[in-house]
Amino acid sequence: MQINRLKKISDKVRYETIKLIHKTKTAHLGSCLSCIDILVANYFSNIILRSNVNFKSKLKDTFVLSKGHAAPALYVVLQMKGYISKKMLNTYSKPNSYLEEHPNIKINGVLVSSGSLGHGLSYVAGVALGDQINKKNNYHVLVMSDGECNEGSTWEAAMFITGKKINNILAFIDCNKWQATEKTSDIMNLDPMKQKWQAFGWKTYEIDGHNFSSLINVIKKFKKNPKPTAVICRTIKGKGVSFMENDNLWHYRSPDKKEYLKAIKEIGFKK
Amino acid sequence: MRNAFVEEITKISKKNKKIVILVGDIGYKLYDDFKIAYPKRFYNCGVAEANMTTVAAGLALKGFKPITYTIATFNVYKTVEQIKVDVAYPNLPVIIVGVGAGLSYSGLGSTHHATEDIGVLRSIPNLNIVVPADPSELRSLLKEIIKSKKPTYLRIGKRGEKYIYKNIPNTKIGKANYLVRGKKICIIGCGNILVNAFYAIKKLNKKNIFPSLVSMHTIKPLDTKLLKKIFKSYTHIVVLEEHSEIGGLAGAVSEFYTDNNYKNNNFLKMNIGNKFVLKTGHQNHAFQKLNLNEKQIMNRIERFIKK
Repeated sequence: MQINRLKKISDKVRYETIKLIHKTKTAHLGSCLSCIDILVANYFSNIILRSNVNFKSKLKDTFVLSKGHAAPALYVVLQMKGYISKKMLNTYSKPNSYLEEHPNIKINGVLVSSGSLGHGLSYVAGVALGDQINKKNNYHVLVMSDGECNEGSTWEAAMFITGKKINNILAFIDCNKWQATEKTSDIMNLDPMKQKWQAFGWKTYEIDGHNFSSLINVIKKFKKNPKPTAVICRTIKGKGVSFMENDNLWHYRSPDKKEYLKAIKEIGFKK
Repeated sequence: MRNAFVEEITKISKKNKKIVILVGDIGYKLYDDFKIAYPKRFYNCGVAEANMTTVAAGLALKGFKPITYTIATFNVYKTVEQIKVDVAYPNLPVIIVGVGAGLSYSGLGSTHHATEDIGVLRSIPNLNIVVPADPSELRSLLKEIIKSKKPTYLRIGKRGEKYIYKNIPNTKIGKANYLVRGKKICIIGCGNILVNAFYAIKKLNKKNIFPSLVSMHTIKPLDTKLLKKIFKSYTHIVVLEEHSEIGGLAGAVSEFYTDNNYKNNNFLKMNIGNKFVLKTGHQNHAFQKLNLNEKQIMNRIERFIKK
């Protein structure tokens, strides 16, 4: 039941994200589509992230989209969860709106202004360290990209977290095999990703990042044993739209009218 | 200066339970008292300054008052994006301490010279920049910085600096302190190097030259109110700093000067120029090489006043 519900929500998030990007002619659709299932599994499964995520005046559970360029997908999720209004969502990328193409701390439900890669894990480390000092148990989830693992600061944070025995951090790495201009494997030697994180002292899983039962399983296991956990999510850039899947053109390109209609039809929506 | 910093922050942390110190594998035994008193509030973050800076930002989101502490070069040049994006942009009360300001680590070579740090950081919005003249001024300013709750870069020396103040002065962020009151000529400066000017002035007094000396300990926000008065009251202005000629205090003062169309003052800028400083040995030798020691400052001012 839960899985079917999440799938439906996921389709809806995909549809709204494609629509948003089509309307505003903005970039990063492929990067949104690869991580939507991860976002949905976290926000809608009610296992660890419940209500008041990133409630800044009294911070408890947090979520950081470290790959900030997937902001449109996050905004759609935040709207569906009631953090921002539909009216506000429609201001995305428009003048006078905080809904820029990367998340801004001024938005309700957004904890940090991400967009420059390699910062999210350190941010979460600081927040979780604060909990450790205060002897509080809150959960801290983040979504990073595989390209983001190019950044040295990502590995500084990875060492710091396990070195200082900071718990309650769950990192999903959206390994869609592409970064802005090339295949990740053609740029740097990222694999074996799982072993790299293991070597840094993290509990690791390698799963299909579009499979809800795998995603839910990992979140449940983390809840039972909240050691620093890295989930290598094997994903498809552009997931859900046949002509976008695995085509890096859609890192920057936004669909025109014809492409938009074709795309939403594939995921079961009409204009 | 670093000892004064550690002593003072250890004292302050007794009352202020929110202070957390993060160090970048520096200060051997320096923090022993702090660590014993507050073991949960001290973290050696290793030689990973970028992470340290953002961890501080994360702690600040949780309501802590984090301080990052390492050698000025590393705490600025390796972290400038983290300072901009994670600290200054969300306006979080993180204090970034750069120890070994200017040429404090002269003998260690240019890798350890923090002579562009003010220039690098000054253009970042929200970030205050504070450069105390001596350990007493530092003690006073540290309290003010913590009170201010603003992202702040605190640039301090190393150890063994001479004192200028006899007692701990009153200070306020953004309000410069007069160290010597004279006439006609005003030396505006910041940091350790003010000591050289302080003693140069004593010698100049014997020659009937009476410069004023101002510690512009806050580079940002700049004390423009006082600058206005100075430009009206003095014909000769000297700007002294242990920093590149580009982007530092001289840059800040010049920007204010041109923005307001002042024109009646003569300027002399004393700084390290626009170069890497090589083959210097100890800091005093570096000063000599750069025409910045006590005697050289005295001579340069004597020549300047004849203009």
